[in-house]
Amino acid sequence: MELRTEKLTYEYDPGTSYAKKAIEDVDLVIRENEFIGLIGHTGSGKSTLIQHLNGLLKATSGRVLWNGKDIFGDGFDRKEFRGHVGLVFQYPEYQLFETDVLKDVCFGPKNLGLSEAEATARAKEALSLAGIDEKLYKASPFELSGGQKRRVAIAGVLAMKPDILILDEPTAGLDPKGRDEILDSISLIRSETKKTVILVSHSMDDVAQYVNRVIVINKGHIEFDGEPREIFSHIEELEEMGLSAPAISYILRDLKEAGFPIEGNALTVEEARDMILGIFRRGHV
Amino acid sequence: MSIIDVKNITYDYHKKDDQGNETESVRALDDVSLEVKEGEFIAVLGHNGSGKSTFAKHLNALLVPTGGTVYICGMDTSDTSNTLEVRKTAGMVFQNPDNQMVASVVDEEVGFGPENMGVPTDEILKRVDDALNSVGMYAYKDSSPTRLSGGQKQRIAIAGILAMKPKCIVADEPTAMLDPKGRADVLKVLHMLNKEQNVTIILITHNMEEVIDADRIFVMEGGKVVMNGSPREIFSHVKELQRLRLDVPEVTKLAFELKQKGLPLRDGILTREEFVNELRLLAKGRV
Amino acid sequence: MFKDITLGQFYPADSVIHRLDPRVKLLGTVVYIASLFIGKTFFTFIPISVFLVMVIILSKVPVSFILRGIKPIIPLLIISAAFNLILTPGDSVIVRFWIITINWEGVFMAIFIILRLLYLVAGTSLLTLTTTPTRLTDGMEKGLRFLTPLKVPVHEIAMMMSIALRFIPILTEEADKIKKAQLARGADFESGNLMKRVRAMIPLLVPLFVSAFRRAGDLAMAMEARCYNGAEGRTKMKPLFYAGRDFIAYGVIFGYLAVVIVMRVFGL
Repeated sequence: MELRTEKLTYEYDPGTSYAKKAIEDVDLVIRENEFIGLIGHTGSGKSTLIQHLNGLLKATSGRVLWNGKDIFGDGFDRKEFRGHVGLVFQYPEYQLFETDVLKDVCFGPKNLGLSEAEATARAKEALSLAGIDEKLYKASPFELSGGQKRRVAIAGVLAMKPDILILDEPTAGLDPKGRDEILDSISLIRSETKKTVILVSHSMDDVAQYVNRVIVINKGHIEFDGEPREIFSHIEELEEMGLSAPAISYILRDLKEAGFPIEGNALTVEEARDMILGIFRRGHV
Repeated sequence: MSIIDVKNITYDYHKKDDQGNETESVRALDDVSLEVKEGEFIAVLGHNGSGKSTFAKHLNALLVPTGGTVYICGMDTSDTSNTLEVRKTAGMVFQNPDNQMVASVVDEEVGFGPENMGVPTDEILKRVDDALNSVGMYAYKDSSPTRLSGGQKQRIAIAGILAMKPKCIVADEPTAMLDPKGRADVLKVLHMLNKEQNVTIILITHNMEEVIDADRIFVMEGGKVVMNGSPREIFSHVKELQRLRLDVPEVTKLAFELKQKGLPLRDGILTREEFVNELRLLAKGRV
Repeated sequence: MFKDITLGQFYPADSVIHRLDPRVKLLGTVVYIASLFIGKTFFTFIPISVFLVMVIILSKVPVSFILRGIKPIIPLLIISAAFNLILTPGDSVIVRFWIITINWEGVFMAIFIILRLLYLVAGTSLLTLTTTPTRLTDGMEKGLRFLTPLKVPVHEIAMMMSIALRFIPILTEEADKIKKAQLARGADFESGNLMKRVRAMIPLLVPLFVSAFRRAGDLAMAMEARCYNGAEGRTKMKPLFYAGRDFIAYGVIFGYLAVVIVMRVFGL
């Protein structure tokens, strides 16, 4: 499995005075079993980019290739392809419409042409991965809490069994409890299914400790693509792009500047704690 | 006299089934009491369903308590003859920036409150200009709100309240739907209004990073106030906050973790500067 | 598909049409619509075109903007033209096949209807393009105040209109988002017969209605919190006063009406 973009460029309202390039010359390769954080501030082009990845937008120039085939090429079945690359939009709870939770989650699989029984089986599997209790299957999606609604919406895409799951700001507007539950379900989905997951966010703190690859997008260009620890050490560059590194990176930088012998970077509180304890235990200060 | 005086309020709402029969009564607020002095910056923390939004609506007479009393500048909010005066005194900013805007041009939006209050035309124009200047949005006076960012829309919403010249602004999760920059801008405006114009601020939020500069914090859970105190006092109770499933700033968490492992750090460290200084002192002590 | 709707949108510019009193523009629009229905021949489109082109030039609204508003009504244009083409009775038959007869009268009516609808949309969209919803509703409220003693809730109607206009762009954007989200779940809005297509709209319409109701609830609360209490005791930030240009505009409007009526009377 491979999803590749070649010189992808998208221009809004081309030929008018509003014309604006949302993304320009984006080259990316996404493979199996990756956990990717796509980071950029509002208006950086990240939402435009992900809508290209499942063919909702057609590039002004450049191509998107799914296993080597152009997704806008002749005879390419885009509807089937959208089952392979699942996209969960921001505030996905606003797309719920069915009379009960289970039926809503069945919507995607049924669109793929699956039978009622198959769709229901997939829906149940997806709901359990999303951490939705069986008792809620027959409840109206509109009666659930904000966090639950969102997990149902994620299950709705998950039930299509995509090879790549893209989530646009999955924690936006949730309280810490709702956010943790969403991130926990995403981790569970990752560990259970080994699907490639792309987490789109403007918050470094959310993605830092989960992902194994970070892509930073700014003004429609890919600025960084690599290992999280390495990327988050570029604090100044990230700030110039209107982003910030995870809070822990800042603490370690400040300690370093104050003369503490900090080496490398940490992403979680636990890593930083052990790093600092190490310094004190070894008697370096 | 306190600007806000909440005395033992409870609030029950009733769930109804399809036939409209009452099925159960839910207690959203349970014996809440608190007092706020003029000029204070108060944060009310809690996650969804803790009762914090229900509480906020009581300060603006959008809801009146089932039991107990809310006084705003001495006015009882359950007395309907006070309602308009209460709303002029305690203005309210809501979570969704789009859903609280009435007008299609920024200045008309800001003028909506004063128009409702019957303020004379010349005075409205002046108030609108002043309010837009205060939130740093004067340049967008003639723009359409649809073209603004979330943070800019929320600043317009704040200006709309400011033009009503309130003594107090109750902001119900004003940053929940914003990106980091919009969030920072809105908070800056609220702090500036508090310091420079002595407006009392009640900030309802579930984001911990936003409350460390407040004068006092109230933590709500299950309709009750479960903790209250200065930020330092509140953040000294990391275990308790984690039990309530609330966040703690990363630096506070790190300091707490180090202390658990035996480093003698002080409780309730809130900023990076404090943290670095504490570690420095500790290092010197060892030499 | 939704972002092309310009009806109800405001185009900010500094022009004499923008500055006109909304009451003048409302009356002008009513007269303009009336003129489209007074005219029975192609000749009436001469003064109508002069009037429309003059207003467009004065308004500084780009023609492309107005043309964009016409795009969504193309299906309506085609349907009404087709009906007129087929159903207009007449003797000068051009072709006849199966049960369908096309005659010159039908061709004439079809072109006439297309022109009338095009002019109707172009002209009425100018009203909202050059008038902010608040000014528009202020104009309606004040212009229709003579109805208040008849228990017509003029203020409430005006307020509802203004809010509806304010939320049109928000809801169209939302509809676009929901459509994309359902497409990502494999929904198909484009194929199948009419019944299938109508049913395919349910996943779009249900969330849209739910969202509209939620927004309405939020807005009602926000308005209440800002002391909204109906028309009573309300002042205006931008009260309406007639200026010299408004009286000139009234003169132009009545002059225009007179020309169209005279043309009709003389059968032109």
